[in-house]
Formats: sequence, C-alpha cells, structure tokens
Amino acid sequence: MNFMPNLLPAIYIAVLVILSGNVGAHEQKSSITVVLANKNSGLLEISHRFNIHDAEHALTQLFGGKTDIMNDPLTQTRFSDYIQGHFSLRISDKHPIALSYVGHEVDGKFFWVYQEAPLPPSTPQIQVFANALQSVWKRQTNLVNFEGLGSIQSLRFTLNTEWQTVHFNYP
Amino acid sequence: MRHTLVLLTLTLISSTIHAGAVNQSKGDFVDKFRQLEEILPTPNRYRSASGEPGRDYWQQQVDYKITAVLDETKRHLSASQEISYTNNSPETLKYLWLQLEQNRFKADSMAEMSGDFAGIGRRGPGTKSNNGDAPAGISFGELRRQQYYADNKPGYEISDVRDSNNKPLPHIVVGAQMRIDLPSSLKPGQTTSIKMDYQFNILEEDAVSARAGYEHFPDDEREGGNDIFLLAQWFPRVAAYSDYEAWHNKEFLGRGEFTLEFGDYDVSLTVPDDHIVSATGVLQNPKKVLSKQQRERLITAKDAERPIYIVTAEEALEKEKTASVNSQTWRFKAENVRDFAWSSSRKFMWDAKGYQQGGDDQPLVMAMSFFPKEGGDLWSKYSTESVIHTMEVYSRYSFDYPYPVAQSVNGPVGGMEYPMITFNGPRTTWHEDGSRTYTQAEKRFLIGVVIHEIGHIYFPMIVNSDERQWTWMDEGLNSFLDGVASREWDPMIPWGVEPRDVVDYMKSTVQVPIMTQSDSVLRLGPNAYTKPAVALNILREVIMGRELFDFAFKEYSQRWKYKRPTPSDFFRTMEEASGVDLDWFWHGWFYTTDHVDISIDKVSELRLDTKDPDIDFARQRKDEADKPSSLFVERNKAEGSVLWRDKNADVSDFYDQNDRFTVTNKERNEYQQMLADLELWERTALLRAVKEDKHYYVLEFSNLGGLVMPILLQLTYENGDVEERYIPAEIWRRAPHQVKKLIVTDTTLSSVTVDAGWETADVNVHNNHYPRKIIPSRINAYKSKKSTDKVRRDIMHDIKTELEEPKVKPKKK
Repeated sequence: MNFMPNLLPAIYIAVLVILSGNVGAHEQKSSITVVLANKNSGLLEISHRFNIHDAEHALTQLFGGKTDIMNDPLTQTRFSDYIQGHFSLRISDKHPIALSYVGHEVDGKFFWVYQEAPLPPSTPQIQVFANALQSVWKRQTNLVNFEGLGSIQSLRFTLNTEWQTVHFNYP
Repeated sequence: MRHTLVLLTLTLISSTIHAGAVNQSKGDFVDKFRQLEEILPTPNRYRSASGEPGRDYWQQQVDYKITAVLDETKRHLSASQEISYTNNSPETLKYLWLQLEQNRFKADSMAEMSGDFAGIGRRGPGTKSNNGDAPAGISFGELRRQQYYADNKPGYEISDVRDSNNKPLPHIVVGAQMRIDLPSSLKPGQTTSIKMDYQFNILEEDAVSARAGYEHFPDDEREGGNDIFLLAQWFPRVAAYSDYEAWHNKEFLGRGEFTLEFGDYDVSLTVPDDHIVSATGVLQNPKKVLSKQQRERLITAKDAERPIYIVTAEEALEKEKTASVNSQTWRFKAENVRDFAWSSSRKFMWDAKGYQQGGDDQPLVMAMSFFPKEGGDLWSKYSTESVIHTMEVYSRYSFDYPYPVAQSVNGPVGGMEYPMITFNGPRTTWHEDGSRTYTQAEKRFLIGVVIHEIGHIYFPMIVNSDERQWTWMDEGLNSFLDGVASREWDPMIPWGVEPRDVVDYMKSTVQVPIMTQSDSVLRLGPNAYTKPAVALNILREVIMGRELFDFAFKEYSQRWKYKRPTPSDFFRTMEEASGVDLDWFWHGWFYTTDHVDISIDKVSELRLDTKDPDIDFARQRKDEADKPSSLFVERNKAEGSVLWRDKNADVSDFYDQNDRFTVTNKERNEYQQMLADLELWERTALLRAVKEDKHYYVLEFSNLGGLVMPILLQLTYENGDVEERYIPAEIWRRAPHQVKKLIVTDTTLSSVTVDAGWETADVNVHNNHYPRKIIPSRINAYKSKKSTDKVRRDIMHDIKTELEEPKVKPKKK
C-alpha cells in the first residue's frame, strides 16, 4: 500500500462514510454507460445512466450542502460534470478522444448524461476509464457497453479497475 | 414438471444441452423447451413434485431466551442465552453449528483474510489499486476502518458454553462459525438445551458497514453527543439445518445474507432508562418501561386515522440534552420468528398507528416508527403510513401480516430487514438557519425503502428462503412486489422495475445467471433485484396474465409461509398452480445469461389462387400492368419515337384487340370441371375463401438473443386500424433460431411491429419494425427534444440582451 495523500485527488479525499454502509434496498450502486458508434451520425455517442438515489446521495457525500437532483438545475449540472470528469476514452495513452458535452436529463428514476465525439476512423481498439462514484461507495460498479462496432462488448469497472481496452472485431 | 408427453414427443427429434448427461452433439438445434427435471432436484417426501412441502416436510425449531445488557458508554454488549433446540429431522445430530457473524469483522476471519485489495464484493469503504502512473491509495473511509479495527476489538468473546445441567460443552470456533458437540446424540424428536455467555464491542456502522452497529451524533446538545444503536446478528445463532443441505454452515462473508430456523424468543434488554427500545416482538412490561401517558397514547393510536406520537419531537429533543445513569430492562417476546433484532436510543421519537387488518390471524397490527430529529418531518409524514401501505398491498398477494407489530427504525443502515422490525436510512438535510428539508428524491427513497424492507418481513422473514444461497428468492420477489406497492402509492413515483430498465444489463457480456450463489455474483443489484423482478413482471403482464400469476404467486406464498422454500419449490408451484408450462422461462431467465432480441426479418404477401380464370387472369393482367415499364421504352417515348404498329395501324389482327390474359370458354369449362371434380368440402372451402378474399401474410422472425419469448405483434393496416396479436413463446419449440407465422387479415397490412410496448425486455428495437424504421439513438432523441423544448430558454435573462451590430471580419481573397 502506497498511501500518498498529496497525490490523491480532492474528490477521493472527500469521501465520507455516512452512507458507505448502506445496504442498497434501492440504491443499486451501479451505472450503465452505452458507447454507441453511430455510423449514421458519424458520432461516438455516449449515454450514462445513473440511479437518482445513488446520484443524490453521492453528491451529498462529495460536495456537501444542498443537493436536489430532481429539481435543482445546479445539482444536476454538478453531477453531470462529475460524471463527465470520471469517464474517459482514448485510442492509446497518447491519443485521447475528446468528448463533448451534449446534455443531461432526469428520466423517471434515472439521471442521464450525454456526451459525443467524432467517430474515430476504424480503430482496432478503444481504451476506457470509468470510475464514477467509486470513491464514494466501494461497491459501485460501472458497466460500459460498446455497441455499433461488431458484436456488443462490455467492460465492468470496479475499484481495482483503471484503463481497460475493448478490441473490435468488425463484422 | 409436465414432461411425460412432451418428452416422448421430442426424444426422437432432438435433445439439448441443459445438462451434461444430455448432449445435442449434431447440428445447432437447441431445445429451449426441454423440461427442467434434469436440473431440479428429484421430488421426495419432504418436497413434492407439485412444489408443495411434502407429506413428511420438517424443519427444526430453535427457541432463545436471552438477557442482554447494553453498556452505552463502552458501546459494549454482554449477554447470556439459553437455546432450546428441537430436532424435527429424521437424522440424529451429534453437534450443532452456530453462526457468529460478529467474528466476520475480526482480522483473521475468512472475509478479512480473503479480501482482495481494491477488489469487488466486500462491503465497506473503498480502496484503490495502483495502475500505471497512478499510485495506489486508500480512501479516508478505509483509513477510518483500519484505525477502527486497530483501536477496537471486534468479534465475539464466548464463554461458559454448557448444557442444561451447566456441564461444559466442547466447542470449536471456526472463523465466523462455531460447532458445539452435544453431550449425547440428539435423536429425531428430541430437544436439547445449551447455555452460553457472550459479549462483543458494538461496531461503528459508519466505519465498517456491518448492517448494524452504532451511529454517533456529536452535535447533540448533550456533551459528548448521543448514539443510535441498531443490534442485528447480535447473538450466536444456530445455523439452519435442512432436508436439502443439512447444516447451512456457509460462513458469513459480508454480502450473502442470512437464514435461520423459526422459533420463539424471550429477550430482556437492559439499557439506559432514558432510551426507547424497538425490537422484534411484543413488549411484555410496558407498565415498567413506559409512562402512563405513553401507554395511553398507544391505546389512542390503535384507532387513529394518522400516526400518533408516543414520544414527541419535543420530548425526544429534551432527552437528547442529558443522559441518565440508571438503567431499565425492556422485555420482548416473539413467537415463530426466524431472527431477532432491536434498536435503542434516547434520540428516538416514536409514532404509531393501528392497522385494522381484519381476519382471524392478526386483526390489529401496530405500525410504528422510531426516528431521531434528523429524520424529522419526512419520517413523521411517511414512514408509518408506508409501513401500513406495504401490509395492505403485500397481504393481497400473499397472506395477512401475521405479527402484532411492524416497525421502521431510522439509523445508520440504509435498509435492512428483520422480523417485525426494519432499519431504514433516509433523512432530512440540516440548514444553517436550523431548518430541515428533504428533496423529492429523498422522499421517494424513504417511501420506497420502507416498502421494500417491510416487504422483506414477508419474503424472506416468513417465506423463509436462504438469502445467502439464492438472493433473488427474497430480493427479486420482493422487488417485484415493492414495484406493485409503489405503483399503487403513486404511479408517478417510478419505483417499479420495467423491462426496459434491464436491457442494457441483459445484453452486456459480463454477467452471471440469476441462479448463482450470492457471494459469487458479479453485480448483485441487477442480478438479484432487477432482473428477477423484471422476469416476474413479464410473467404476470405478458405470459401468464394477472389472474393466473396472482393465484399461483399467492399459492406459493401460502404454501411456504413459515417454511423454507427452494427455487424448485417456487418454479414448480408457479407451474402447478397456473397450469402453464414455464420450464422454458425459468431456464432462459434464471439459468442462462441469454437476452431477448427478436427480429422481424421479412413479411411476404400471399394471394389465394382462385382457379377461376375470370378472377385470376384479371389479377395477372393488373400485376403485369403494375410493373414499371422499361426505361428503354420510356426514353424512346420521350424522344418522340413512334412505334411501327402505330405508324401502320392499318395492319392489325386479333391479338391487337385481345391480350394474353383474355379468358376463353376453354378456361371457364376447365374451371367448372375442376370444381365438379372436387369433394364437396373442398369446393365449399374454396368458394368461401374466394368470396371472403382474405389477405395472407407470412411473417419471418429471428431469435437473435437466445432467450425465447412470446412474439407480441402490432399490425397496422392501410386503413389506419391497429390490431394486437399474441404468438406464444412455444412457436420457438422446434425452430429456436428462425420461425415463420402465417397470418390472415381482412384488409391490407401496411406495417408490423414486434413488442411495440417494450414489454419483453427486447434489447434491440431497431429490428422490431417491418418495414424498418429510422429510430433515433438516445442522444439524437434528446437533441431533438431539446431543440423543440423552447421553454428551456431563459427568456427572462435573454430579453435583456442589447442589440448589437454584427462583427464584420475583414476578408481577403
């Protein structure tokens, strides 16, 4: 264990524990991201889906103060920014894929965040990093589905996961 | 299972790959409807083929008498217990196994020693492994946990294990379990008694995530603050011993929860005398521990329209300011429960409302909530009412709530269930002006979590499935029913799980079947809660219908009330009571990771050949005329080219007046002769079909996801009419990959949609339309919604914008 407090990002340090022990009766502590290679639009379209409860409680833990994910635009923007800050794509470590923000919305019991990027020219692989909420809850699991580039492929991100690579087998 | 006829029929055609013993070794045929008898355990005298408890069903009886003392200052519990164990099994027992869940938190427990640094599965604060340039790290939460362990000694100290004559009993502690060797073999029907003393340091729930423990409130007015204590898994508990697994001595690792035997409890809890105690069971000495006013309030609450405070906010707040040095003992008795939990604090407000359930079992149930000021209005408005709503709904689908109390307690645990008592976490938020508010999401969370946890009193606290082995049996069934109850509370509260919610999980490539032991599941939420709840939803709304499903589900609940069901008992009962063969459904949804993706590939129109030349030749002429003409010919026309025959119109014959579709009496005579040669029934059928002139279409489908499901058809006709049709899943019986279906309609079909209502968890709606539709991606749909959503503009702000001259950039060629 190499504990280096100065290098830990602020958010990681800000982990509180009030809810860390919750048994998730409804808090599923999992998210799903779909990365869709949309050849019609020429875009890599990213949709992140988080449970409302996870979102609101996580924000309270991360930032404190007033959080109202369903009705407060500021809370929604903060969470959206947070999710975008914890999701990255790249072709390689020297070739990041810049994701632009499209929007976010509350839909039923889910909070959605949308991003997009120009569809990279046929690449044999994309590397992914997705660690949203894992500094809040150890059990947080983020699932990323890649669609539109051959058969569906999934990556599962838990706390011990950093960059993962998905290789494409084009049809 | 209903297998006799089907098996005989299919044996010659195929076999499949469910079990290792049976192997489809040629071709790619998969028998999606193979019966489950190779997978399910063989029925026996304890568990019948119908899914009922067998004629010799048995289960053990374990009664406890416990006296415990809570040392608030030291956060320490010391207790003595006497266990009365009755062996109802046909086996002779030489020893008993006990679960020691407190030992799971010791440094040498299996859970701690096998913990993967930064790995998944362990509950509690986070760690982070190093990777590439990033250093490994641990969160403050993990630090706190480590420090807590360094400063506190977790786990049981057990002493003086003895028999009823106070003679010491040999015993061995194995991690979070203990074996006690009996002085003499316990034969069937015999009862033995064991006594022991034990103590442990109560864990700080926020530091170690133990599903129980204490929570400290340092900001209370009393110097040093106050605590809420939630006590669960707090006594050495005899493990379950069943007909199908013998001792359930699978150690507690932190995730897979619990199952115990039913029994009667007599528990005396000594706590500071300004504490309020909520516990499994009925308070035996209210005159001793409650004031006269509190007892009168309880009586008033029995018939109250809204919850009545037994301890008001003001009274609780006043108690928070000081602490008593005296103690008193609360005594509770509970009959026929599979566990016992309790909570204690001076911070508790307490409200109650009688639920007049009626019936013979338990006409009156006291619904009660215990919460600190941090729960506030959110709790006083909605907790107890949610408790009652849950009982109203769940009882309709199972059985009357059988216990005298149903309680919701606020503490450091987000949501956890025990007989008659549940722990629920949602709270209000404090503001600097001293006020407390809560968000809409928190309100939904409270209502949802109380429904869910009170629902657990039915499943698995009464229908006693093994949570550690099959988490879905309580979480899945309960998530299904909490969806029913939540929708009845307010359909705008979107708690119910919809099939569409699970499609991204089901099509992902990292998942395990629902039938996976809890500690091995990769993603417990979707696996044990959402997917089985969606499966039951689909069974009810799409496959069986509400009447059959509800009857069978209630039958299951009542058959296994106060008993110990396994998955096969559930599967068998649902089939046996409904008369619907569901083996294909159980296998696909619970034993595989297949998903639903049914594609409509092609629609072909057929037309009846009438044999009548006056009809058929005219149709053929029209078909020929409808074909596009030759581009060559069209361009000749466009160039003004005149045909030879037009330039020489004087040269013509019969064929210029009669085309090749001209009918002669020769054909008519042949037709009449053909009719005359037909059998009467053939002639009648043909003439009727000609008269009705129906439209015939052949629809071709592919099963791309592997999971067979009914095909829900929406037919749209040229005249605008829309019709729904249902093709049972059994269409895939002999053709699991592709099937065709002939449909006959009165009018012309213009389009076909599969599962238009998104009711079957079909993961790909693009191939559900014929002809294909352009379906925007989620992001495109969002963009178009946003662009038309003018109300999102901040016009109040934008209207202040000054007009500006456009900036002209100098340009040069």
